[in-house]
Amino acid sequence: MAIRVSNPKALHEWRLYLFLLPSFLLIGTFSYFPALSAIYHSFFDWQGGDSRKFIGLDNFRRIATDKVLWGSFLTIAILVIANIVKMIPSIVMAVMVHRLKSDRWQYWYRVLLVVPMIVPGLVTLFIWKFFFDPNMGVLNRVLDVTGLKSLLVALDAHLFHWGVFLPDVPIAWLSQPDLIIPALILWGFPWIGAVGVLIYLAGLQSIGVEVYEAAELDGAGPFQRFLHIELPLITTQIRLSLVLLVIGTLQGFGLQLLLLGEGGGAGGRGMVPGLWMFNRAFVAGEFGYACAIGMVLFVFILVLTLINNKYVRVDK
Amino acid sequence: MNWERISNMIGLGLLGVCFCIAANRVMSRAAEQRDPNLQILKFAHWQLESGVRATFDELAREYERSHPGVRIEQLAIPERIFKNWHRTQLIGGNAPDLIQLGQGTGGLTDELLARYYTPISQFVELPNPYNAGSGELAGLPWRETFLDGLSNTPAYSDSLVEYYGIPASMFTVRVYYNADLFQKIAGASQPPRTYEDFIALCQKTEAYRTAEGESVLPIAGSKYNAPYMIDALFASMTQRLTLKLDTFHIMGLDGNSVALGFLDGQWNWQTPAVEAGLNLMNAVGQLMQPGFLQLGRDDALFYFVQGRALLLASGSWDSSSIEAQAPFKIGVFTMPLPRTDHSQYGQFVLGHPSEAGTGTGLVFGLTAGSKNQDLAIDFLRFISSQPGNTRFAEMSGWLPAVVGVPPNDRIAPFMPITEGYTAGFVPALSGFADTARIVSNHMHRLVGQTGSVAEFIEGVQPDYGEALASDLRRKAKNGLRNAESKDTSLAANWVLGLEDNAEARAKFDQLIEAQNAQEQSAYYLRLKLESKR
Repeated sequence: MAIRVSNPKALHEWRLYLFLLPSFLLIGTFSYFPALSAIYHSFFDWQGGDSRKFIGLDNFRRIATDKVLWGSFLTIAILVIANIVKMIPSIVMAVMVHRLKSDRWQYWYRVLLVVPMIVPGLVTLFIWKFFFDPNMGVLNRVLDVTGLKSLLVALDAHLFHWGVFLPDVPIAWLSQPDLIIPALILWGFPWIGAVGVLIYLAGLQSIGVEVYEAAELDGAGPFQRFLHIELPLITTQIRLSLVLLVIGTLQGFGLQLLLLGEGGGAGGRGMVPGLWMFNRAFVAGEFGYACAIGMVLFVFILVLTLINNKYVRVDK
Repeated sequence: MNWERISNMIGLGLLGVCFCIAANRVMSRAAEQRDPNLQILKFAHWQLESGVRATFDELAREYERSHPGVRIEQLAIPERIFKNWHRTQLIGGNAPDLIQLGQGTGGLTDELLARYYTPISQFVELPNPYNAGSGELAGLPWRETFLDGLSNTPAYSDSLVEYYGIPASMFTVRVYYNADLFQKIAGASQPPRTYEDFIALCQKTEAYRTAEGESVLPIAGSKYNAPYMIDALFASMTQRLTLKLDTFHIMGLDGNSVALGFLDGQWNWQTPAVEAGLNLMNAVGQLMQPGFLQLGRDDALFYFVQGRALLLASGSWDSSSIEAQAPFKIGVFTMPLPRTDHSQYGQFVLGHPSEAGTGTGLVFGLTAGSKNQDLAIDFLRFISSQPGNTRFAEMSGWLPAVVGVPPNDRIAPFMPITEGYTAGFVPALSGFADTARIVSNHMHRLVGQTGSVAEFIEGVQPDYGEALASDLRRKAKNGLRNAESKDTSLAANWVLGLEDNAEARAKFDQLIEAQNAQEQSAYYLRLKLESKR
């Protein structure tokens, strides 16, 4: 619990607060000013230049009837849920690294996890774009070689009638509307995020040895140790990851922009709110409207974060 | 000292060295920019194709040699990010002196041009001094030395009545073919001249693939390349329809008239010419590799130069890159379109579309924030002079933009074909953002492996009209805004005294005319849209 300090005591060394000024200045300039500018411009008909016309709440009224935007929220909801599920491999990986008996091996696994972070994100996106190539991509090759393609074709033809897996036709992952969301979910397989693993590892390493010893005395097996000790004690880290993940997924659109283009791909299935905001700003030249979409996104993220903080509780 | 400590010291040392090198580079660069004896001119473009950067570098070094104390720096920015880069550079006040204008910059609104670029009208009326020894061009106003008379956007803005750019090249589209493979498959030396021959060649390629077991497809497609072929086919079917929709009798494609024509019910997706166009798109789309709509320009190029496809539709800008990368002989032909005597499609066709109206490209605009305006104009004069453009065309293998400059042999087949007829329209109208998105979102229904005309129409029909209306509303709004923005210039010219100042009078008259045209167009759109409600 924080200790209350009296005002005279807090102000006694007031010069020290000056050290905070550069940070406040940078945060204000690069974080708060753009956000406040977006709020301001969301009430204007603005093309991104100097001239603008005040239109009150018109942009927000338009948002209420924007079918593309609300459709994109459905897509993002699916992606958020999928991304939450995709957290599991990182947690499992962290637990496995944590349980390694050798400190040296633990160190090397941590290094191996960090090394791919050096590769720029854009390069990873390009690699995955190539993976999804229908004719030369690795994904279709793997499906062909393993016989999974034949299984998918059979399931499609006889059971599900999706009409997307056809014999002798390469799977068009990104130009077939029904496959776009599965492809976006598949992206990043096996979904081991280095940052996530390191965050969970930090949490796991703070668990005292005595807790494990007590569990061992009680006869707890590896899975029970995970369920009753490790998982509850890294909930703080999971909650942090969850908040970052929800914010990142809702805001993000780089993946969709690169893989599917500005229009969200075939059938517009890959359209997400961030991409629609980008589309309105840089394709339609409606910067004011794009700012208003940004405001709606902000509210969504805020509400989800509040819900997360309220209901994903950490019992100390 | 243990190993951990030593390794930490090494890490810290490396970090320190890197920081010192970076700091030194930044500081020496800043010092260079402050050097009163050195003028640095920066120009940016998105032409990363083979040969262009090397050509600009060569021209820049040549200019530097004749202008001591000047350094020319080239910034090649990928087209993928150019639109965003361009806008942020301008708004951030860090823009280079010269920036390429056109497709890569996205929609260049009047506001953007007027606020961030310097009009160069006063310069283009004067002769280009670098043309002094160029016979016919010596003494001619600069603008008249270009093949299109500098009459096209983005070099000229007809709404602002100002010149804003100087071109270095021009662009046309052709079909590239793998000549070695063509000889093997078709056994002929001449590429197809008619649509029927073209389809027959593609069928022969498919038969060759089956017979020889080689993975060769007729056409390398991508969402970038395919439209050059399938849109040309669709446009050939709407030539006669375009004449019917040409409300203002401008003998050309006017997106607004086409859009209003749809909303007026003058054409729809069941119109025979439109269905014929969709049939052609569907037929040719099936000849490209499966899933080509998810692929980009580089993918199609890669596919072609690897010998996996016989044909590739692309522009003159790709000529050098393809020549450099393909390990086989390259041929080029004009996309054969159905002729008037075609039994099924001939009734919709006027004839092969003319390229006489092809505008110049690779246009450079002078940014308003440039501190080297005179130097920038001089550099533009240098590269767009007859000798400068001759060097450019020779070295880059691109088409020239200046009168009297011969194209090199390789690029000669790309020279615009001036004979022909007016072109038709395509469903994804240029400058119609929402309409283009709707068409693009449903294109897989037409050209996908299981696509059909009926399926495409079923998908696109419900939203197409609303998308057109939305784009027209935006155009009307922007048109009125642009018209309003002229009030300041008009007032300024008024204050300068119209009676005593002939220049101000002329400018005032031009602006009034442009403003009236914009208002007329915007109110006409509003009226028509209002009547549709």
